Amino acid sequence: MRINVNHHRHLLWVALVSVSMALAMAVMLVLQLTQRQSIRQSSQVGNDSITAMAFQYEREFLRFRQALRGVVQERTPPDLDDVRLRLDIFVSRLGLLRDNPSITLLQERPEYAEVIPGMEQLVARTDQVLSRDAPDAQAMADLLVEFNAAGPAVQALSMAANSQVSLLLERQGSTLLRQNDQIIWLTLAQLIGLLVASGSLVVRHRKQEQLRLEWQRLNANLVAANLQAENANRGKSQFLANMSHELRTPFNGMLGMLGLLEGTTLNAEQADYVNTVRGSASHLLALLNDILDVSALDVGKMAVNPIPVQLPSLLRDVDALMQPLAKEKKLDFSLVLHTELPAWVEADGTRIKQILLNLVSNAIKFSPQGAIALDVECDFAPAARATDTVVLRLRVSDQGIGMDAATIGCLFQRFSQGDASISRRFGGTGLGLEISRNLARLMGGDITVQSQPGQGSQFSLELPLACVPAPPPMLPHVVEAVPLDHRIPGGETAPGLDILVAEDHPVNRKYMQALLSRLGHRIRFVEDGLQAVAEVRRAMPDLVFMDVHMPVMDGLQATQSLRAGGDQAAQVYIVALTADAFAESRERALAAGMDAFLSKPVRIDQIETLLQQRFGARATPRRDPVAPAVEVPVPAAAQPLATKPPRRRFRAGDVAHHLDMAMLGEICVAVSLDGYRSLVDGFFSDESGTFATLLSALERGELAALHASAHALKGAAASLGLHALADLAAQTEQVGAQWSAEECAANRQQLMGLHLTAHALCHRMGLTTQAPVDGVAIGR
Amino acid sequence: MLRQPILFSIALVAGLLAGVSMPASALAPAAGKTVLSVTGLVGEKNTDTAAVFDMAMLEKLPQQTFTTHTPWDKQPVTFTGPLLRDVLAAVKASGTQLKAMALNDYQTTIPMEDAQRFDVIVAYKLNGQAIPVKTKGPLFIVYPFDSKTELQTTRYYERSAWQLKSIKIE
Repeated sequence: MRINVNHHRHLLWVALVSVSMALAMAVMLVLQLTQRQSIRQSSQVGNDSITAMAFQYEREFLRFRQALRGVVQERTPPDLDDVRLRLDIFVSRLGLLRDNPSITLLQERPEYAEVIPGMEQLVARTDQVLSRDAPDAQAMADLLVEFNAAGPAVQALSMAANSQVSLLLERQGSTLLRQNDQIIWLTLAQLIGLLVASGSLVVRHRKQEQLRLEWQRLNANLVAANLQAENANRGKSQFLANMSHELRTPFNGMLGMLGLLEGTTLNAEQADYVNTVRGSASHLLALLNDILDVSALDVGKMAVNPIPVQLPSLLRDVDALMQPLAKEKKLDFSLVLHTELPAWVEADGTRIKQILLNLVSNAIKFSPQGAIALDVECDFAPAARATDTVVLRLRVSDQGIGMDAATIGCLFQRFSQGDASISRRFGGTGLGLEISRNLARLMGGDITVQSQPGQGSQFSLELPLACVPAPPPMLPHVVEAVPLDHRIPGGETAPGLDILVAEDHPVNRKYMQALLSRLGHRIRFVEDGLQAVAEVRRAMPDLVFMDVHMPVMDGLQATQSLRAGGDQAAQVYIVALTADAFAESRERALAAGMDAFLSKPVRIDQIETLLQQRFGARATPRRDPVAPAVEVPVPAAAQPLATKPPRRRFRAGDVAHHLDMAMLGEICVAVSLDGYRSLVDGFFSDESGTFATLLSALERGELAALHASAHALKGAAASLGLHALADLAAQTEQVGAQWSAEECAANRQQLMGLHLTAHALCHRMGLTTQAPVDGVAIGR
Repeated sequence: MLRQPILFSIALVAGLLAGVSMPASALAPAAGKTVLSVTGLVGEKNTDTAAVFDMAMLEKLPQQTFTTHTPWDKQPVTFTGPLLRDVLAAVKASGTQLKAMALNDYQTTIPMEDAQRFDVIVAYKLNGQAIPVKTKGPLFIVYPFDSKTELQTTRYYERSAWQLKSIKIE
């Protein structure tokens, strides 16, 4: 405000100075013009100066008087023509004194009035006298007297003219001086004005400079403050990321233990508890992942990694994952493909899936009833080249509670979720949509929303995607021969793999031990990278699970150290194990020389898949069970641990593959569950001995005996709904007579496996009272 | 006044009849009262020492009329007379300047080139009337002051000799 007032005052000053200087200049201009005018006038006067005229007049007067005197006094024959010419010339001079424009100055003088009118009369009379052919001598004498008498007056006129001109010059001079003075004063005033103006400009400039410096200082402070705030924010994000990691480590342990717990015999109540814990844990894990994502976005570490993705299968995955969720709330969820879609696009499928799952699960969450649809359309023309970019539009619409404009306004803001009542009612962090939109924008697209309260919502995800040709079909993973020496000193091939786990966290060690020993492998533990390097060099394992973050020496350094060794240990297969979810962590691990990457929490099937890909059959040891080792591993000693027998795990579809549930249900209805249970118990304990007979026939290659026992087993298994076992038995019954010894052995193995799995399944389902014991029930 | 053209015609006819070629510029002797005598570097003379003009000879030359302000009159005045360069051509004048002399012994020097650059005339009529000596006659060298600003200066006012009596070519 003060600055503004100052500014106005300054403007007023500048205006005042300018106006007064302009005025002074105008006055000077007027003065100069006046001067010019008066100079021009005086020069005009000078053109025919009155002194010269008066002088010429007097001269011609004297010449004429002289001529007249000659005629009158000398009495010689007069040259009258000459006298007349002199008179004429004199008359012309008189005329000039009367008519010349310059003469006005002289006409004001009394001398003029005294001489001119009288002279004109005298001249007129003289003209009369001289015009006669013979002028009268007396008349001429009289005229001469008169001309003589006029002499002083004519002389006086000359002097008058002279003094008049002097007077004029004096007057002009004084006028010029006066004007000159005025001009000097005005110039002085202008000078002062200029000095004042420039002075004020200097003062103002100084003030502005001060202000500018002030602003600069303020700006620097602001920049510093901003930097500080940014650093603080980055620190916060880093802290969040670190916290998430820290949380994931114990969480990993919890999940692992939970998995192990699920594998034990639980009663219904306990199973329910475990299920609840599993649900909570999944939720917590989702939350942690969200926080990690947000932290990654904040510190700019979020990256998308586009690879060729099969679009329809991605959408089917989303559909498959969301259907159960929708069904649970009795909502109808449909995937609608409006247009033909490109089969393969270059995209980060995981991220797209993440966005879609978020949008659809939101729709389910906020829909008490009604249908939910995922509409997909794009501008794809099948004729287009494979490398064209298409815009994929995915619209998730629901008929749920909807939102008002204010809610939409803060929808994509962090930590905000509808209004307070909604967040209390529905829960959630409010991070999902922010992450989704940021991801969409990272991928060059965006998310928009349309909604009205009570009318449902529509979230539209637009993504520009490059179409790519279908990659060559994935060949089944080639199982490499393992050239490494894994024989134990006794010369016998030890079952399972020799695995080294480098992990500093005891919970994670315990988890890994549980997982790997269940898979039937031998495990060694070390606590840091340095120990890992030493242990690998001491005794080469088949595989190293290497935690990335460890004290003393981290996993990356350890890997680099091993790879740089140049010995056999440099060839060891290393799998990175980290809770670090940033994409760059994977790249860092691979860059350090690691062979594969698993992010925590690790699932047993991931490890199983990885091991099978790398080691094939060796990864699934078939061996006689040994007494389970229960001791806790002592990592520092890196002692090889005795392995627990592999526990049976079930996969999705196991039930359907092994059991005919419809048949089973009918039997239960017919004979009650207890009745069925006793039948199954009898079957699995092989009361009839049919199973043992069949196995022994197969073992001994007694092909002739196969038919009868296989037939008997087929009937029993089929009537109990154990159809996988029944099928194999039927096959054995039909074609077993032609089998070779090897085929017999393989089928025997398979029969045992099916028998065991079916038993375990039934036991898990509470259909049998006795737990299966591997190998025990099998007669030898 | 009527006599001269008749005489001239007779002379012309006589000349033609005699088969004598009579140059157009040949200066006839002045028949009337001499109003202007041109002396000095002249190629054509009609007396022993000078080329002299009477009023009729001047009237026979191509005529020029203009109206202009002068320092000597309050109103613009109209002058009539032959161009100075025609007069000079009639006497075959050579040289760089001419000295004009007035009845009252006023003398002024005019560069020859003025006669070419400006339409200077030797006026014998002022506002259509012959100019008596009592005003500024009988002859008046006048520059067309109003035609050019540069002529409105003392230099040219001084060169305008009135009551012109004679011209001496140098």
